[in-house]
Amino acid sequence: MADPVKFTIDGQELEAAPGTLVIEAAKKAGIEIPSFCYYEGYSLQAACRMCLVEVEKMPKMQVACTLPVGPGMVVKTNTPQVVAARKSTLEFLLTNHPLDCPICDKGGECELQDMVFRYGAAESRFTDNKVHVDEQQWSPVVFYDGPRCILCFRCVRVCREGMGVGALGVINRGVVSLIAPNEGDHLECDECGMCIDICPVGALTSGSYRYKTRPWEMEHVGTICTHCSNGCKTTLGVRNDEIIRGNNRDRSGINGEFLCIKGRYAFDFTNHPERLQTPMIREGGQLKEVSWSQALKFVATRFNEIKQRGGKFGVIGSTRTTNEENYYLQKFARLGLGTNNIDHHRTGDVVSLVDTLSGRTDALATSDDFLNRKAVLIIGTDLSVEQPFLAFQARTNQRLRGAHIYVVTAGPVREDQCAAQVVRAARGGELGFGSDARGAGEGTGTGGCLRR
Amino acid sequence: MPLYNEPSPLEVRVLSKRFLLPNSASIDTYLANEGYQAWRKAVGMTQDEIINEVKASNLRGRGGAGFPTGMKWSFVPRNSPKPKYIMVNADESEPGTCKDRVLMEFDPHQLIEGMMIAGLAVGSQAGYIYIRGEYRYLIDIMDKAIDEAYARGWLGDNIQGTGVKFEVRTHTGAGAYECGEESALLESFEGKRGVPRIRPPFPAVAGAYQCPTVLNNVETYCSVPSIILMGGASWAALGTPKNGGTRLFCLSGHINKPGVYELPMGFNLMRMINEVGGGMRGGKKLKAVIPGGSSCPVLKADECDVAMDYDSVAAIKSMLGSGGVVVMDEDTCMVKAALRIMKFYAHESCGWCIPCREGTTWLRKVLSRFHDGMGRRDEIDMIGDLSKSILGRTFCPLGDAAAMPTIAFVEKFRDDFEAHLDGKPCPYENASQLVMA
Repeated sequence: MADPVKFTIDGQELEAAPGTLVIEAAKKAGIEIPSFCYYEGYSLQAACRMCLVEVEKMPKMQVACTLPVGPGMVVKTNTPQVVAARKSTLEFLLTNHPLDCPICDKGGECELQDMVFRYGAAESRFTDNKVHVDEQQWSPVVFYDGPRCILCFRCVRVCREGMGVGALGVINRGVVSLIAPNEGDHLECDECGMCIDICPVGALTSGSYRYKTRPWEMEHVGTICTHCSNGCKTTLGVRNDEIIRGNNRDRSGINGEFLCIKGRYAFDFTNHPERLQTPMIREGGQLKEVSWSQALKFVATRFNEIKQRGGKFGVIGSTRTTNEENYYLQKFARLGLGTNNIDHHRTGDVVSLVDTLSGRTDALATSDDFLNRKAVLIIGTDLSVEQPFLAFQARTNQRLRGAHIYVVTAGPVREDQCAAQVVRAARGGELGFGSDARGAGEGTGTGGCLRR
Repeated sequence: MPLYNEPSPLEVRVLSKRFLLPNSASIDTYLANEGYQAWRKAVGMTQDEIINEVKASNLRGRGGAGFPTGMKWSFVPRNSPKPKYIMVNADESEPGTCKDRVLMEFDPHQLIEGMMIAGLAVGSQAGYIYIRGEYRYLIDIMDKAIDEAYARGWLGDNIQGTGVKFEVRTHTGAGAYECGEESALLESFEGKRGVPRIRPPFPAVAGAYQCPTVLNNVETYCSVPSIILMGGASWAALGTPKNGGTRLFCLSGHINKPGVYELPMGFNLMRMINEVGGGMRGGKKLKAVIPGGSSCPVLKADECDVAMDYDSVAAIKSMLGSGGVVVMDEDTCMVKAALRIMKFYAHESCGWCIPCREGTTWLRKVLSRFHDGMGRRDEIDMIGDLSKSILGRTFCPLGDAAAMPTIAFVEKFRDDFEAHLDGKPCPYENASQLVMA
């Protein structure tokens, strides 16, 4: 690795790898340079101008979000000029942003509110009419309120770059610019809600959450999503024992702030009237509600009876439960039930995979490997649908680190867009591609080969 | 034959020397009058020799920024394995400017030849002319000229049997001032939304399709054939030191003979108004001049005894810009002039960055209210203050272009702003309307 660059921010002598952006270097040193449009991992915009800083020997203030640190660079983030620039940028933003925070769904967790509180002016000199457009609904879950939008373009980027969907764009020009669905009046997308989540203001709001509560009235409860085997952490906003919102803004868990449509919205079953809330025991052909202790005692008694008379057990686990739960399940099976017959519901040919990997250590990939390895091979799965988080990781890896993604599927999949090579195999025969495609398939054009 | 305006005897017609010939846009007229001879000469020169000749000419970018053209060309990495492109900025949209229009209308082949020579200088085989959509008829004229050049072997795979290849196409813009900014032009050219790019990299290194690209104004390319034919030093001698050659000045406003005139760099502004432009219309008194298109700080009448070259105008804190000289007489309301300009910038702001997007519209609203007599005294300073909050803080120069003239209007014509306070109607209300070309 190249030698670190030495530079100074606010008098602190610092070091960072060449190419490190000033805004990142400052953050690492505990110095906040405010920004709206800069968002780690997504393309640079330099649009909001909140991160202007003074750099010695440069005539104009520089944007810290696109300026790489240079040897001997002296950066100042808190001079009167910088303070004034931040104040005026926020004053500009508030000219057309509605000042109805008490009834805004974002109130209390709005980055613009926080930013004005910290860096803005107490008074506004703006006395003219604001630009107004009516709110739009783009999908069951996505609402857009144009006047609140500060045009940081985070939503456009998370949709295009993060999700590989590109459902959002920008229309109009100047002060009447708006974010808009590329399909005109509605979204053609996964409805993942990432755009709502990443919106710093109340411009994009969620149809399932908006106006139900104030954010500070919720408790935030971390849990693991059970909708696929990825095991994303989701933080549920709970008020009066009711789940109101799912997100992962605190970036805890393996998924950072990523959540797919299921992790974010699919919790309403918890209060479904048909959901079984208590155990039941069948007595005389009738199911009867009992307490957990009664139910467990009943099961234990029956298990013991079966064990006494030499009966055998098999245990079916699930990929959708947590590692800890599966650990306890097999422990119970082996020690409690005395059986090694443990399996789970499978969709892939796991037996072949385990055979292939047998005898090799460190051969199973983690979700982290999707983000950090040099290549990812995707066989026979529509990853964005079946394992959205792994697909997100692979896309991020390709975008930020140039990983090579190889896709072997029967039909087109979203990962084709970022793939170094795509092979189309017969449905059901994707695993056998190696013998055909590794030699003959490459370069012969079988299965459209996309390269970026 | 269309005539753009009556020529002036004070003109030094180098770029415009063929404008008055019959069928001046045809390749036959061009070939019969030194046409493509500069390219023939340049084919025999090395790349360095061409670039050095352009450097020696002291040609500075005619789009407005005045960057030395030869230096710009030398930034193109010649050993790059990527194709190199010659891009013409024909998105002429600076209010007060109408010179590229006549250059393309009356002598389209001069532009093509300039591009071809630029192609030789940097090793490019393809050029594009990005023409603003409103110039529809000019796209037709350029397309016809390009067709002629192909038909006569002046464009194509093997130009005049020399083995040199050069292709030219036109590309239409869709009506955005922002796309005159070079990186936004490239975005638009690539079929994307016309917003500027983060620089560096600059177009010379990563321009169209991320390939090395020479991007110049129409008039800049049109200057190149005469530079090669005359020699850089002789061409430079037409102007003043560091400001070589002639340029097309677009005179508009309250003068007797508005029009496009080719004059040597450094020509005195008062002479331009009185002798070339035929003096003030109706014998009125001169009040102010915008020297180089709407983005340039306005000059008061007593500042107008100035040599019109980049450095002299910069010395009095304005800019030569794109050569659009807008003359305003004593009956002109400076609040209205500032408002008219701000309306333009608020309308043209691309919306990418906050200070420009929000600031220009705020200023438009305040100036509009002022002109209606609804201004407040404390807001006079606020207008200047808001402009300074835009200046130097925006993503691209559009914000500066809106801020600079506004600051000057407030500083230099404060009386006009004070005359609009407290519900008083505009004192110039019945005066003649400002006419901008």
